[in-house]
Amino acid sequence: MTEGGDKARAEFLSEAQELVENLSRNLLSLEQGRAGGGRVDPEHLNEAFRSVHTLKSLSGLFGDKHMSQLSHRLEDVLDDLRLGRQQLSDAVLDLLFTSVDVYWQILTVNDAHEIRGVQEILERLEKLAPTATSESGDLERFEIDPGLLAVLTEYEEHRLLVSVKQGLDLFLVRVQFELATLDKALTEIKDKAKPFGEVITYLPAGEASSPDLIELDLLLASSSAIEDIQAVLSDERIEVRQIPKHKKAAAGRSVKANPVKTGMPARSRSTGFAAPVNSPSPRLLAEAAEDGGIPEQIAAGAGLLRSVSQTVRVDIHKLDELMNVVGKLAVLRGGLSDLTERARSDGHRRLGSQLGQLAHKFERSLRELQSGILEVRMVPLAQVFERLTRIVRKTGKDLNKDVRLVVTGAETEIDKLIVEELSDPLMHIIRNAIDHGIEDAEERQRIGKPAVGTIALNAFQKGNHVVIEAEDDGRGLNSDSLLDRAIQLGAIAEHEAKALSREEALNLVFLPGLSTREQASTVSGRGVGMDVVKTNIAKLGGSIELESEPVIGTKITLTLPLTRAIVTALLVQVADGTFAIPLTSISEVNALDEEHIRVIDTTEVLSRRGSSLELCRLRRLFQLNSDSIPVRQFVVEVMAGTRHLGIVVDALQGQQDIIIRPLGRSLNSVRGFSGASELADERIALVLDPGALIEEAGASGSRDRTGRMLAHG
Amino acid sequence: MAEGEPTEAPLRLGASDDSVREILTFTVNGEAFGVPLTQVLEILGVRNVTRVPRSPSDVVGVCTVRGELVTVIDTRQRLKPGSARATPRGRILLTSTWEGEKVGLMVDEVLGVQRFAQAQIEPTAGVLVGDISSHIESIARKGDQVTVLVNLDSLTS
Repeated sequence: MTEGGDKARAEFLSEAQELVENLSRNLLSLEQGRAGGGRVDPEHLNEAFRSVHTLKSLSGLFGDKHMSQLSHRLEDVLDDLRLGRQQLSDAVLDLLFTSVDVYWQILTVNDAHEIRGVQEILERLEKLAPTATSESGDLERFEIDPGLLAVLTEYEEHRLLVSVKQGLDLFLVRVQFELATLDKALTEIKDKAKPFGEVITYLPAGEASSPDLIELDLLLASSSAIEDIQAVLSDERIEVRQIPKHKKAAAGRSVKANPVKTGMPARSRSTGFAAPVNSPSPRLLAEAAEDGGIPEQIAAGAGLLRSVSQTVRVDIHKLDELMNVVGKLAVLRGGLSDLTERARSDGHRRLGSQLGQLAHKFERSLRELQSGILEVRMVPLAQVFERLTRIVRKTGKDLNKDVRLVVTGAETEIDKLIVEELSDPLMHIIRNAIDHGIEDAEERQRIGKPAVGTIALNAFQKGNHVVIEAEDDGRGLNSDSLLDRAIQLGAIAEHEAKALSREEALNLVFLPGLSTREQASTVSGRGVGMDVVKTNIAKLGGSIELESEPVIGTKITLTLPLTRAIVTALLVQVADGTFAIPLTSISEVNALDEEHIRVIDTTEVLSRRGSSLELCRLRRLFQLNSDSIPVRQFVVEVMAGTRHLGIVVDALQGQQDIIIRPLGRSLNSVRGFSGASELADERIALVLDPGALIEEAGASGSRDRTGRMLAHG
Repeated sequence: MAEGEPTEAPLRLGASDDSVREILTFTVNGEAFGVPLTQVLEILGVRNVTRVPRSPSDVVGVCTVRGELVTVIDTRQRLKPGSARATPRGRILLTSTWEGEKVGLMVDEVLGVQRFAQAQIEPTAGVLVGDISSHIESIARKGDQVTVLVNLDSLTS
């Protein structure tokens, strides 16, 4: 296939992904609705149905057989649910969630042969026989115009029956709208009516007093009193009427069997409605249709199969390209500033100040452009949190543990690229919490905990960072068994283990190959978890911290930068190299006062104001040689989470907005850098990774205390 | 054609057809090497290459080409171990790995483009041993002149 085909496929996948996410979101809402008292919002079912319907057409278009088959079958099931032919039971919900998992597989597994479970789910979906049959008996208690009933779609009829079964009253709201503003007015009245209940249908009543007006009847099901509804809705053009109940139900007459007096064909779904019931004004409707598809608008208002969206789908790499252009403009701006300086110093004062003004305006627009692009890249964390909700559900079921996930701050926004990379680490953390942290119900009750375990996922923005906390109320990490494992693995010596604080011992969990369980479990696997999580978070420029109390639980805190696309960095010089340090991880910059340096073991520590700061001399660490070491050096204090390190540099070169580019594969093994960046003067600065440097200092620090002391003597 | 398949198969050395191969030849430490011309994006002149502290000895450093970051590989270290480390001079052959990463190969001198018939190319599989053998795909002969054809996928990784 051509590049165009790949592009189209990429777009297909991304759209399909969004649809599956939407499906999953609505299923979760349905489940929550059921759990919270049994009332299911039909809109969620409709939304789920719409997603699957679109998936069906999309996958058909792209010849994705698995997705097409699954969507086909799923659409039928959802349609049955929508129309009340099928009851929404736990078993059905489970099946729907499994379908979502299969969708994810189809989307993420490249090789179609490796996709498992499609056939199985298709068979299971097929076996779902309709469990409920529509009964119209209850309807007969109301004096509803049979003409109206005759034109209800199957869905509307189902909703009407559900409402009546719930004991709701029915109201007819007659409204007059100007044809020109019909769309808007309809939305307004629907919004106004929504708090009272459900607008089941609306159809033209056809008694409009002028050709510019259209009259509609809205059928509203509500538990409110008519006075309350009238108080809000009624005005000169809106009239609310309650549909009276029969004194005695007419026995033996089903609504369907009742012939429609007008003999008009039922509404066709394609246009929203084909013929008005009491048919007084076909001319009006014909005109309306010619005027610009007003029936179409009504159909849209009904909210079926068409989503109204103002959004554009953009490939994130296009935004990267735009950001590159911003980078190039920044280089130009640098040139402009140089020119301004030159003009001034050459005595062209007027030219200089004019250039200066221009440079200033340029700078301002450039910043606007930059922040605009950054804003577009930001997406709410809800995207990844929703997937986690599903995982909690599934993992809990697999392990037979009752766990609920409490999410706060899902609306917190972060760079799209970071969100993409967060899903795996968070999944690991959550699975670990359920598998190793949360006890089973029996044990929990024995020690006086609620039977249902809780994982709290909390996100918030903190300056230029986003913090995500995952806290469980499980048994907490066992530092002794961590120490034992670390000794077994040869990561630390026995006498070293004794010297470790509890906090240091807990941090051993981030060592490669360390798992607190002897037996690998199928859920969180052998101990591949936390060290991988840590590496992945570090790659995003973030840091991870862990707190754990026996019996009380474990809390893992991720601190991530808002974006990786562009960062403001402090440029520093060491020997003849230029390095960039992201400003977000710098807490302080000071001149280095050699007098306050103490050497503990082999580690230099700067003590000031009663605290001490471990130092890292880049010149030594990177083995950079130059003829002279400046008399005055600087300490740039960086932090990752709560840990700090003082980086010693030769000179400060000011701040600059930089675009960090990852180092190539050949340089993957080099530690201490998160990438490189082209500066405004076209030099290259290597971007330091403070987290990795702190990590390295910490690791060698604890080693030095015991191991290398003698060697350096 | 199946989805995702490139319209143009990458030029494979040693493939059994009669077509003529266009090879870009260059020298490293006095010896002649060659890569398929189609796999070289650009030949870059002398430029500043920024050394990356703590990098493997066969990496010269990084440079930018129109805003893109390029890792520059010391071809000497990879093809003739033991020879002196390349100085950031000479030419850089800009190539792209199959993952799309741009990689520069630092070479001493670019000789030019030569055309070899299939019969002039001998596969080396199994003939050579050791680390370098994985970088070498075949040997092309023209009279007395021997050009070692390099496997770019292996050399740039």
